[in-house]
Amino acid sequence: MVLDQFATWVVDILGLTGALRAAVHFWVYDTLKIVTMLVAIVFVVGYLRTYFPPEKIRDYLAGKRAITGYVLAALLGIVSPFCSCSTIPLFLGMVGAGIPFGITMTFLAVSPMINEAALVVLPGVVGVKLTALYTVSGIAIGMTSGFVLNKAGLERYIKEFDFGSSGVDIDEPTHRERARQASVEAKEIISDILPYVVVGVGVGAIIHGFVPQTLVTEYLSGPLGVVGAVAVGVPIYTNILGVIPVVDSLIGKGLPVGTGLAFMMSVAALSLPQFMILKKVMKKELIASFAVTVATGIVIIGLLFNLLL
Amino acid sequence: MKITIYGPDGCSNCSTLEDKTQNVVDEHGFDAEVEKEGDPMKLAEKGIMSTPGFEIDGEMVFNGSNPSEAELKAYIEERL
Repeated sequence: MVLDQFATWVVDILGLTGALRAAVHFWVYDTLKIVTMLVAIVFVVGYLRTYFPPEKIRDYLAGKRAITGYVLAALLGIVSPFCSCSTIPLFLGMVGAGIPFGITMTFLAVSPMINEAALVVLPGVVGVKLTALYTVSGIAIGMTSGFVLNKAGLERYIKEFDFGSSGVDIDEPTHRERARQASVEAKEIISDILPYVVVGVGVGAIIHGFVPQTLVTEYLSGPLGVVGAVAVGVPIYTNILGVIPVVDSLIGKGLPVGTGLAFMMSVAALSLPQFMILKKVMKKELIASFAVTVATGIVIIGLLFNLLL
Repeated sequence: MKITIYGPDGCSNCSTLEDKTQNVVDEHGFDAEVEKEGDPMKLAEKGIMSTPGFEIDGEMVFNGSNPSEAELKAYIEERL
């Protein structure tokens, strides 16, 4: 493949040998591979998204029965834009439209954890089976968390507000406008994510080339490894695409798959900066319950996969 | 006139729109003040579900898109 040849050419030019050669090759190759896939998928999905403005989705969700609502909210979480800065206005719009609380929380949990770019990049890096496991368990965790938080009656901890009307008439955009919108969005997303990918693949490359296998198998396996991985993963903020190569390298060094998945999910789903934004729209009781519920779900999934796989 | 860009912190698309708007205002010498509102609750009150929102003197002109500087100029000129 062209990218592979390019990476080989780079390490040849630099005259690298041994572990350093392998690490740099991994870094160049994986960064290029991820970025190439990203550019395509982000543009295509951005274009398709112009057909489903959030207002339309909200109105559609509002009329659905509970179980359908939960499933749709999880799916919507997958295709919604990346950043929690765009997830939260959508979340508030749903709350304001009277969509049941549990359903809105499901959306909030799934949105950062799974997105279309991760779904395209993951199979190429960690394989189809792990991608499927990641997606299905992410949806399950999101739906369960929404359901549990709803049953616990935590709705009262969302701050009071009246959702207004923007009064903007949206004309049906032309293909040209859709394409332009998608390319602006793609450019923003790629430049936002790129640093995380470069650093993530860099860390992955270091693990790949220099961390001895025994270190991983001795200290990071076992049930405590899952709890530890989630405890470390929750406060960390990085894009899911930055953490994929790290986990891939760790699994390559013998990290149990469930522990790897749990780490990836906890990094993506929960983070300190996200809590700071959430604090503006809900009380800390709800943020804490949300974090604990989702983290517990992730630990259970991690333990389960370690046991079964 | 007062131009308000609605976009939460960390939304780079919104900061881009703010910069572009400021450029247009500076370049054409419009008598306008550009400010950014980051509080998600304020966005909700304005009915914005897709960011950024672009408001001139209390009128929401568009939201959820990021037009070119030429279009921004036209929006501002229409409302001078």
